[in-house]
Amino acid sequence: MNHSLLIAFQTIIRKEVTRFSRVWLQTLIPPMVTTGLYFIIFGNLIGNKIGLMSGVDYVNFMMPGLILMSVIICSYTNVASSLFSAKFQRYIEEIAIAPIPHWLIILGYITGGVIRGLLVGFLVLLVAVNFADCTCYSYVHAVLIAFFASLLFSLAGFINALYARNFDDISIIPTLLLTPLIYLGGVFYSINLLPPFWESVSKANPLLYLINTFRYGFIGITDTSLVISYEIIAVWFIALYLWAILLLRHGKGFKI
Amino acid sequence: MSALDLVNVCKNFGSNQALSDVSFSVPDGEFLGLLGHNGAGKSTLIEIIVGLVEKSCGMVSVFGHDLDKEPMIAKSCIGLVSQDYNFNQFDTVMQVVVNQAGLYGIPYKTAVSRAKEYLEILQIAERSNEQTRFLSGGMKKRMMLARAVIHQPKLLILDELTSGVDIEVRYLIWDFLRELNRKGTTIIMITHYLEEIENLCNNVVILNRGRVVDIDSVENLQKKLVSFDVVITVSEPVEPELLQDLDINIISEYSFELKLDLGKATYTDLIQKLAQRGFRVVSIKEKASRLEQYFMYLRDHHL
Repeated sequence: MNHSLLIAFQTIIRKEVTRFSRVWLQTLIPPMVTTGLYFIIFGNLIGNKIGLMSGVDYVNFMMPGLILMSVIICSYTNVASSLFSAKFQRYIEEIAIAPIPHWLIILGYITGGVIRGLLVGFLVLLVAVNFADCTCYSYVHAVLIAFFASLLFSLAGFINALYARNFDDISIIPTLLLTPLIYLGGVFYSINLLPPFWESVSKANPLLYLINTFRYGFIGITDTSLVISYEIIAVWFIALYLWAILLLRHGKGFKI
Repeated sequence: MSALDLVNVCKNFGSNQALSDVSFSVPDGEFLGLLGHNGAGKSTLIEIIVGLVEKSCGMVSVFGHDLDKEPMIAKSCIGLVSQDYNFNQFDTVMQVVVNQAGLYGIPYKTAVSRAKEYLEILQIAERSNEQTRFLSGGMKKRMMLARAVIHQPKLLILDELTSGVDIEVRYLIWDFLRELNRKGTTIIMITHYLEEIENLCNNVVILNRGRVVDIDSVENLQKKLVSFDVVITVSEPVEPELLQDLDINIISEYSFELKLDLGKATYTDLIQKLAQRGFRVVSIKEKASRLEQYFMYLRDHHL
């Protein structure tokens, strides 16, 4: 990357970080509160009655999934709302007229999403420490999956914003698609509990692999293969990136 | 070298042809006015040049760099002030200007230093740390101008920069633009204020219904008008029956307007003709600027 592009990249990141930091009460605190409530209700109150899940305390089983859920949702919504706001208020033109290649626009926006996703993940981890045993079984897998999950869903949020024509369009996907996939991706249960048919259906959910590999990073237990998880991440990343590049080449969301 | 070359540029929005076969060149260092009534295609043309709108056909070249083949180089030469407010309302003035510099690869320290300089010249430096949503319309426009020039573009495009701006600020902006142009920046200005064109521009392109209907210097365009409206004030009360053959339109007791055809009569002829009928001429004024009247003439004749 040449020096000018590096400065442009830093500028997009600075804009993004400034944007979500300015409204930190809306962007950083709610996931901490929500996750704290999950720990109190599902971890301590109901979790004590559930007992063990895959051989560990329920609250410890649930903890990695809750952290990753916050990372995924925050990464996605950060990029989707930031890019759509820029389109809505027309300041996307600042970037559209500047000499910045498409790949750098994508990289800048998703880096903003990754930063917020990982920051929220860290804050939620601080909450989790008060309720669960947060000792890491494998730091490498925990950190890598948190990073890849935020990367993938920032990219997905970017694509969503390019298509979006109104604010409903950037809330429909997280509400009607992302949240169900996360909840059905094994945040609260092991898929081994499911009947064979639903276990097979669950394996078509890419979030299952992310959540299980992340859980492996914390408690060393997973329902899925680590290799397959990373392969799925790679395939999804390439597919989403190519999709985003193609959209920008056709001016989607940027040009008339 | 031309700052800008447009060759057969066209743009269709569905079945609506917004631009048709637009071709002209803007020499380096020019101050060009782009005129046309609402919907003539001026803003669409500008948006094509800066890469915000995809053209349907034709070629755009900025300082010899084809916008399709070398978009990064072409874009780096251009600065734009849009017609609409297109900045983050929650950013401060300084953030808006400095961030734009960053997008063009200007290092942060240089950007801050330049931003301070431009904001100072444009007299909004004291509002640098305020969120842009708290600025008045004129201040927003000045900030947008500072943002457009922060990377020191060779070609500056202004889309109705001074609309809604008070006269004092307008003069400040004019001085700023004259200085930029004197230092070598090519400027293309869209405006509905024709006195702005007369004061600032060397040449004018007139668009109508998506087509170029005239390109010439301001002086030549003014000369093209042979017939225009003048307002005459006389020392005695106007008596219409004495001026029936002149097809006058009475404005007040002592003044009236008529169409003067320079092909048939001069000002002196007119004054003599009025004197013969007992009217001493106190003043003769052109009803509007000749450029404005020429522009209206083109519009009225659907050219």
